[in-house]
Amino acid sequence: MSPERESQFDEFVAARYAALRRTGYLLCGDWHRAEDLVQATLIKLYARWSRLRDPQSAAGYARTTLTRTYIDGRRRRSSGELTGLDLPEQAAAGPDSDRRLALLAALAQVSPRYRAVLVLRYWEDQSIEETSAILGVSTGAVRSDAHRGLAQLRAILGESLSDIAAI
Amino acid sequence: MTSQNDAERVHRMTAALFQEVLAQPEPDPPQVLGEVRRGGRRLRRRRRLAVGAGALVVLALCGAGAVVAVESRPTSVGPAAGGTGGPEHQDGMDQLDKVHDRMLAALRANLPAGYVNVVDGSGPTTFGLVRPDGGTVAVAAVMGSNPLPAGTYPRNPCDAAGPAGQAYFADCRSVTLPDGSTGWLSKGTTNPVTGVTLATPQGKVFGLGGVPGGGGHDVGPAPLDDLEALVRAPQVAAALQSVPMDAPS
Repeated sequence: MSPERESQFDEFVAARYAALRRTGYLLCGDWHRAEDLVQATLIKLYARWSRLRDPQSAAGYARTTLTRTYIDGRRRRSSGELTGLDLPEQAAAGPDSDRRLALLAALAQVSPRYRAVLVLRYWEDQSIEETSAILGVSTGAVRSDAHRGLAQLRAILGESLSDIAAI
Repeated sequence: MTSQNDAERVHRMTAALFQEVLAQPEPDPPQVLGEVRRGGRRLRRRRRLAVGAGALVVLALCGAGAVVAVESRPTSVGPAAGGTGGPEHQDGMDQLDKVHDRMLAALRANLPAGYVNVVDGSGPTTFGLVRPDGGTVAVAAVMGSNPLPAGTYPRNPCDAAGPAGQAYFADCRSVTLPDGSTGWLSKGTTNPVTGVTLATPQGKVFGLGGVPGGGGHDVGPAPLDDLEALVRAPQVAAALQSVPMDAPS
C-alpha cells in the first residue's frame, strides 16, 4: 500500500476510533469487548483499504463491519457457549451509575439483532433503508426488529424509559 | 402527523437512553495500529487463499500436476466475509508467513544480474523482481499437487501435446542441481508464462514460475535464464522446497 494510503488509514483511525468504540459499547455493553470489536473491524478495513475507491466510504464500511461482527460473534457464542446475559462489569458507584447499569442490563436483555437495529437507527441515525443494507435484511424486517426491540426495552424499563426522554 | 411525532419521540427517547449509557468517562484509546496492520496483512493473504489466488495455469508437467498460480486480483470481499471467509491453510498462517519471509530473503540474496530489488507480489509466495528502470517481473512458487515417487523426475513438458497435436510448451531445457534435483525449464506457447519445475530425489516437486503480474510496471514473465539462475542458488532452492503443497501464490 502506498505511503499516502497508509497515512489516510492512520487519519481515519485517529478520527473514527472513539466513535466506533462508542457504537461497539452500545452493542455489547463492555469497553474491552467494544475495543475487540473495533480492532476486528479495523483489521478487515485495513485489508480492504487499498481497494476502497472512495475513502469516504470507509466510515460506512466500518459501521457495517462492526455491526455484523458483533452479530456474528453473538451468534457463535449463543451456539457454542453457555453464557449469561451481557451484564456490565463495572461496579456501581452512586445513583447515576446505578441507573446506567440498569439501562445496560436492560439493553443486555434485548436480542442482539434488535439491539443492533436500535443502535443503528437511533444512535447512528441510519435510515430504515440504510439499516436494511447494513444488516442484509429487508426494510420490513428492520421495522419489525425496531418495534420488537423497543417493546423489549419498554417491558424491562417500564416508565423509566419515558423518564429518559424527559432528561 | 401524529405518527410522525410518535416516531420522533421514540427516536429522541432511545437516543437519550444511549446517551445516558455513554455518559461516563471513557478509557484511554489503546494503541491498535500495529496490531491492525499485522492482522490486516494476514487477512489479505487469507482472502487470497480463500479465493484461490485467481486462475491457475496448469503446466501439466510429467503428470505431477505442478501448477503455478497466476497473479490476479481477488474478488470483492464484503464486510460479511468475516475473518477468514474460507478454509484455513493446513499449515496455518504463521507457517505461511515464515515461508514468505524465507522466500523473500532468498530471492533478495540471490538476485540475478539485471535486477535491483524484490518486492511482495499479490500473494505470500509471489514476488516482483525489480529492474533498474522500475519494471517488475513477477515470479511465483510452483505448487506440486502431489510428490512424485522417489527417484522419478518430471518429464520434458515439450513432449506433451494437446488433442490436436499442438505443443503447449517450447524452449524446454533440462536442469539438474548439485543435490540431484532434476527438472525442466519451459516457456508457454499459448500463455505468456515461463517456469522451471524440478523434483528432488525424494520426489518433492518444487520450482518457480514466471507469470504476468498485470501491474503497471509489469514487463512480462521472467526469462528462462533468470529462473535457472534463481533455482540454482541453494538458498532459493531450499526455500522453494519449503513451500507447502497447497500454498497460495
